[in-house]
Amino acid sequence: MADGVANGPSTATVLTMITATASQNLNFGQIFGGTPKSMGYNKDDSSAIFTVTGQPSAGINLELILPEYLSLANGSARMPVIFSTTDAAIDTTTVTPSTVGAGNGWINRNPHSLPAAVIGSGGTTKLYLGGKVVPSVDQKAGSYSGDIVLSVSYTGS
Amino acid sequence: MVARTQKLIRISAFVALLTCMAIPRSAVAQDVAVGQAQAVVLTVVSVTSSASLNFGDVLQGVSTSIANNNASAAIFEISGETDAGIDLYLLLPQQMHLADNSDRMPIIFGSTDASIDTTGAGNPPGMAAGKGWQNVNPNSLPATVTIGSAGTDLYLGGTTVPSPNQKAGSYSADVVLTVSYNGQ
Repeated sequence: MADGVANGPSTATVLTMITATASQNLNFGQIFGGTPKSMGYNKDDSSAIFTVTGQPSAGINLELILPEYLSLANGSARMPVIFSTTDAAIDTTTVTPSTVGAGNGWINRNPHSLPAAVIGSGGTTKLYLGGKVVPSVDQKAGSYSGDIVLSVSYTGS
Repeated sequence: MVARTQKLIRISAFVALLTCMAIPRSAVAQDVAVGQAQAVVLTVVSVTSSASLNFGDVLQGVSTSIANNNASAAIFEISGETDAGIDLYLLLPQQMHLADNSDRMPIIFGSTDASIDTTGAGNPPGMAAGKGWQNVNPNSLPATVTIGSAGTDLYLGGTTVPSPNQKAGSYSADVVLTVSYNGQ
């Protein structure tokens, strides 16, 4: 009637901390009043690039908070910015925006609803983002900007 | 009774341990990065008619021409973003009319009746080839025009051809210049 008691070890491995960095802004360059301008996610010098690092092959969730407008620094004018359903790509092999393909991760994805992704085997995954600005005919001249926020987290898978 | 209580405590502890182990490994870490979307809107392009094409007094049956480098040539002044490429399109009349529209007089624009001055001097007689495009076709203006640092001007000449019995009076017609950025 003796009770059997066994003590087992409790173990855990803490994964490499996940980090996200805005490596390059989405740069539409010079635009003209009344002339919309699109920028694909595949422009090496103009697409937005976010770099995510962490545990190789770990599952991650990605969420973008996208602006609806770009604004002048003094807030006196704003200009619509649109992100379509194919304006994002996720690159787990860290090639470049212009060379990323389906075999490198996920291409032509909706930035408003990104797929569950993974950290690349090298410990890095990149998100490329394009978009479109729509200036009015009498759009006030000047430099416009708006924040793009990327949140990343491990999924535990 | 004491042994039964200890056993219940051990079972409860074991169940608690199992419960802890069953909690899914949800997000265990996260990070946020803030990038930007940026764009520079260029200065609005504008165009002004600063001088009309003025043939002055003309005689019945005698054609009168005004060259694009004549002080009486039309002047259109264009301003906007320096060095930005622009498209220019002239809508030219075929006749001038009396104000009461009781008579009209032909007006002709030849293939060398326009010049484009990227120095923005606003001075047709001072126009030279090195200042832009000289003696070009107003019906098909060059496609590679840019806005100079002091603006760009278009000078326009033409020829009016009054008939021998042209009715006396002041004739006029609109010359319309449309300018737009072309993204170059």
